[in-house]
Amino acid sequence: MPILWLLRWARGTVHFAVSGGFPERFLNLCRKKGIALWDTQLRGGVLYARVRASDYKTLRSPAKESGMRIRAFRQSGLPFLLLRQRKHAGILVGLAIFVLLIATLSSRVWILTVAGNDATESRIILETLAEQGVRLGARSKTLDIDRLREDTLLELPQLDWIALNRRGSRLEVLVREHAPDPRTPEPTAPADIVAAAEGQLLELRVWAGTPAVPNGSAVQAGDVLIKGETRDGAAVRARGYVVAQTQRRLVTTPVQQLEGKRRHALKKQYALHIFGLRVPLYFRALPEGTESLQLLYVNHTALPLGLETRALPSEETEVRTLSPEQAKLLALADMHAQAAALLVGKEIRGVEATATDDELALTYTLLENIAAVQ
Amino acid sequence: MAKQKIDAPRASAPHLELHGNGELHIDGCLGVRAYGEEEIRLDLGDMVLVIVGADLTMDTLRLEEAAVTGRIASLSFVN
Repeated sequence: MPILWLLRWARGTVHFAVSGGFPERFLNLCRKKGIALWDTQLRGGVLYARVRASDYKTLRSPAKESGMRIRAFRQSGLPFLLLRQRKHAGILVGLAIFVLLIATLSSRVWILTVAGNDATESRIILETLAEQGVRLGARSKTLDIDRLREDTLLELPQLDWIALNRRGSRLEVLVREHAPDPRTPEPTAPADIVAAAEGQLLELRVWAGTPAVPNGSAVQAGDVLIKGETRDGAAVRARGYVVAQTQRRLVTTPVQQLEGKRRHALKKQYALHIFGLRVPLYFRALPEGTESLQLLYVNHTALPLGLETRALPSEETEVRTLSPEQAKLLALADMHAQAAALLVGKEIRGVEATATDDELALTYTLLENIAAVQ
Repeated sequence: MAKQKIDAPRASAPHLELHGNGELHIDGCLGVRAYGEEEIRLDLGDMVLVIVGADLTMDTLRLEEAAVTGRIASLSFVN
């Protein structure tokens, strides 16, 4: 019955009354003409009934033939509702577009998230999935999840497991990467410890292997300090801690001229990304350039709305002549950067500075671990 | 093999379905002979169906189909 009611509502219904004449004849003529009537009631000599809106005009003939006067007193249903609301057609059109958009958009993927990856970039996973048709705007129902899982695992062997969960318009990609083997591999051949730099040995601690040089001796870079060995048929890798006093020299030359490249964008072009659709805001695309896409984020979730910027960069070589003070400052800064990198994990025992017109030099006396596995 | 007779209704015979005393569906109605709140007479071809009751309403009237609702007191057939 609700379906019948819905059909009648969709087609529109006219409530009418016929009076005078012969009601039975009117009913029979309607039946013969195939006009369906319902809720027919006779009250006080007046016949009340309902008829489909499109059939109402055809009632005039049976009413006339049965000597009755017909009068419509109420109209109901969708066609009359639309007619009454014709002044507000925009609202109805908007409502229809809204319903259509919701129905269309809800069946597609608009949010793609990747979780569980550490070493493998999300971009690589998404690009692999995109090659198989998983991208913003793809129809969610048509995605063959099992096939996608198998193909992605074949394409990305660094992944152990992948799952694709559909949640409305969101597609969650969960991955597990290969876990590194926590066991230390058994050595297959003995290995020595050699000196990484020239210096004088101050302390030689041997944890595995045989010491090759006595404490206090001077060594060159590459000299064997602790020898590995084969014991009871098993390879033993030399392990130990070697502290030596070394000397390191840092040299920098003040420069009179500085050559640099200045980069600036000559031209920029923009394109909108709306639900997977790219809308360029230009007529002729630049032949080359760097592209960047900024998506709109809500609660750390990227929405399928963004702005793509394409810039064609230009480089200009610029030569600048420095004053003597500027040249010295630059040389000091360079020296500072070199020293910061050199002195990590080392103890300074002494430093000697020499300066000439052409160069600035620092000689460090250091204590450092010079053990290196060969 | 012995043949068995099946008591099937005739194709042209009207079909009546009564739900309690509030709703009557008639399939094979050929017309309305009389129509009132307390009595409705329907043409079934070989006979006339007389529905007597109160607040009678013709719920549906199509080519050969009719439905009557209300408080049905009696049904009778006259030739």
